[in-house]
Amino acid sequence: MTGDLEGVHVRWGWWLIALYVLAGLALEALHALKLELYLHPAHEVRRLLWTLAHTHGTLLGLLHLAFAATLRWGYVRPGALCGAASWGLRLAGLLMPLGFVLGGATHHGGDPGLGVLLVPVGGVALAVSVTCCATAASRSRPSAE
Amino acid sequence: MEGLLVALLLAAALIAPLGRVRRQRLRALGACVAVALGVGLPLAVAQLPAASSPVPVETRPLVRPSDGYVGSEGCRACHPGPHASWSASYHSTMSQVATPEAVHGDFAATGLRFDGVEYRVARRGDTFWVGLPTPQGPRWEQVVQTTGSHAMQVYWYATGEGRTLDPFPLVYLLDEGRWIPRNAAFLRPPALQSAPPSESSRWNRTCVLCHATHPQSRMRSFDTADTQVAELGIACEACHGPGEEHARQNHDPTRRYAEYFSPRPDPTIQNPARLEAARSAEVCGQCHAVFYSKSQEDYRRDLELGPGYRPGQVLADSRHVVRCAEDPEQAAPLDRTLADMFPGYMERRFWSDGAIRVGGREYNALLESPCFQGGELSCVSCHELHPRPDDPRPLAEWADDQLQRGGRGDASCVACHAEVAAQGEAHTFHPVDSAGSACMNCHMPHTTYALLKAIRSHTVDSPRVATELRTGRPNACNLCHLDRSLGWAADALTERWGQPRPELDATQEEVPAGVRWLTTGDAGVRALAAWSLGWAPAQEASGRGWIPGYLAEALDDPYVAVRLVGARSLRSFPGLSPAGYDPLGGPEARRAAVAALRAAWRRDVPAPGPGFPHDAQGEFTPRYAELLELRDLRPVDLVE
Repeated sequence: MTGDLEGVHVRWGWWLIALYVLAGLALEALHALKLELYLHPAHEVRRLLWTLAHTHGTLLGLLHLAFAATLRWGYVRPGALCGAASWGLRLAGLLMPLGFVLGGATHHGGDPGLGVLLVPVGGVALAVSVTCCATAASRSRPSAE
Repeated sequence: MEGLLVALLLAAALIAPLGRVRRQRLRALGACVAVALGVGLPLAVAQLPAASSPVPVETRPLVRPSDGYVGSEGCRACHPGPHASWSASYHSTMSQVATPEAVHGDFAATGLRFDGVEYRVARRGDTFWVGLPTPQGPRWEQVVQTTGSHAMQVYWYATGEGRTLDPFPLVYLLDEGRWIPRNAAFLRPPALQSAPPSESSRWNRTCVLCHATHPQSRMRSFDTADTQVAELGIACEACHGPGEEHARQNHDPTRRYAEYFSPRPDPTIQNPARLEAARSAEVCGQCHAVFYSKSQEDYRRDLELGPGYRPGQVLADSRHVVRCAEDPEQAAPLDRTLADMFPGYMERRFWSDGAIRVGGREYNALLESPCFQGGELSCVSCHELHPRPDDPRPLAEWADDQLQRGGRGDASCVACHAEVAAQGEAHTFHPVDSAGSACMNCHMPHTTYALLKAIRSHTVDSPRVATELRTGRPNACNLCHLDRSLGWAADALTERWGQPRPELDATQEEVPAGVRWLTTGDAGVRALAAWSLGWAPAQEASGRGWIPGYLAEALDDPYVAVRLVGARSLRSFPGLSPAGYDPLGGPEARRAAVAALRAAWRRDVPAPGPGFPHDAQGEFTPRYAELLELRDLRPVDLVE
């Protein structure tokens, strides 16, 4: 059971890292090419939000791998808390970076586009996930192997 | 301090486990604290308040937003793009505190001697000083403020009487990189150039009204003021109105997003681009116009509380925009009073038909334009105060004239006159895509003067020889075809446009207009002619070879401004500028320079065209002296 879940989060983790490392590369390219759509002072918010998308996506990928490792070490065992933590983490991995990307794509002066509303939803999911994970880890003891 | 606080907190957090650690862990902890302090202390030092401003604040105009104004920094967070473009504009740096970043003048310069008076300038650290001549030697005053950053820069020192500023008598020309007397930088009669009237408290009484945002002169006597402004320079709120309520209401994000998706403008702020044409133009017209208070009470109130006009309001409700009626009987009562009270008031600002003659007053020109009177033309039809993010032009290029992308072309005119544009050469009688086919070269010729150059007229009209005869204003045809006479232009306009051919005298019939203006015109016309002789499209249309010999006349003009303009035009003839020529030099040196230039010109002089008063060797015929005898010697004193 946990083996399946470990696999899911290992795949999520590496794909998120791959995607948002590539996104980081794209941002560097926007800098290198001095593209106005990214560097113009009017797009200050876009620059900020896309940078946040890159960092959040990459770090959430690492969090998925950490969760997979936690499962493997037996600190979290299958159950309601484990399920909530897993789904919360997946929601956060999807919504938070995507919200930053969309918020930066269609911004209004100094305010992000409405896509940024995905970020707090993802943030709540992340908070629920890490809380469940912490609670589950506190309740369980890994089996001696 | 913040950094130090973080370092201390880090150290405190690590103290608790001290009792249970072994020696090596204690050493590790010590290293952590050292690192924390190493990072924290420099941060703390870096965040200490900067040394107090080297420019004293007590004796210069107070910068304090009030009456609903908040200052441009309050706009930046929500409007980073517009704030950035405004920061790159010359509006933003129109008035500045005299910091090293703001001051462009060469304060290491020496030998600043004009009309027998020696001036001194110096830089001490980050402060700038001017030495005013007195019988006892220079009296040093610290420069506290600057005006201008595009064409020239003026320096102001505090008089010590309240917050009153006086100007240093020299200004720094940014193009030439040199100091000249302030009055020489303007087109003023020679007598006024060497003995200018006193200008005490000028900034507080006059300049502040348009060179700062929400200015309150607060004059306490003729030469004492307690001046206060919301912001130095022409900042966001000068055009958008006070922003306090706008900022307060838009702290609420739901309101902001509702506004983003609303088709109506935000009622808490004005956007000139969304106002109807007349209201929009008035926003610029609050400064770019010749105006006068409607009454003594209005004048006193405006000086005390700041001008009553706010963007979006009707400008005429709070001030009188002066207009010069060709027929004095048709003039508005206040305009008649001004003309009677101040002889020359109109002539110093307008051509006799009401077209504005001086730059910086483009709203007056717009008022006289049919495109404004009967159409939708406003300033933002051609100009934009914030370039679009996809505009590929560098901000410095846009800032030069703040035109829309492609604004130097025909786009703005074609937007309304597509049917005329479609006629192409049948309308312009010039090859399509040539300078002669450009709308503005015929309908907005360079007939206004300011800042030592000719500026396009913002009164959109059509070339007419009769207008030149009536007003003295050079006609558009000859401003390109400088080598052709007024008679030639009259023939062309009669043949092509059916204009009645006016009666001309022999000079007008025969002498090339460029030569006639430069020899017989008044000082203002001579300045326009001298500028046009250096203008590339005119040189292309008129040929270049004949120009230097005649441009030489401008180098010895009685007006310094004409000489400066002539010297600038001569730069388009590399190698011909006489060595060591100085427009502010003595008459003998100037005459020597003229002789040297003409000698160089004669080595390669082209055969004279019809009407030119010189022969094949470049020697002037007696006609040239006759033309100089016809010169209009009436003093010209243009109020830019």
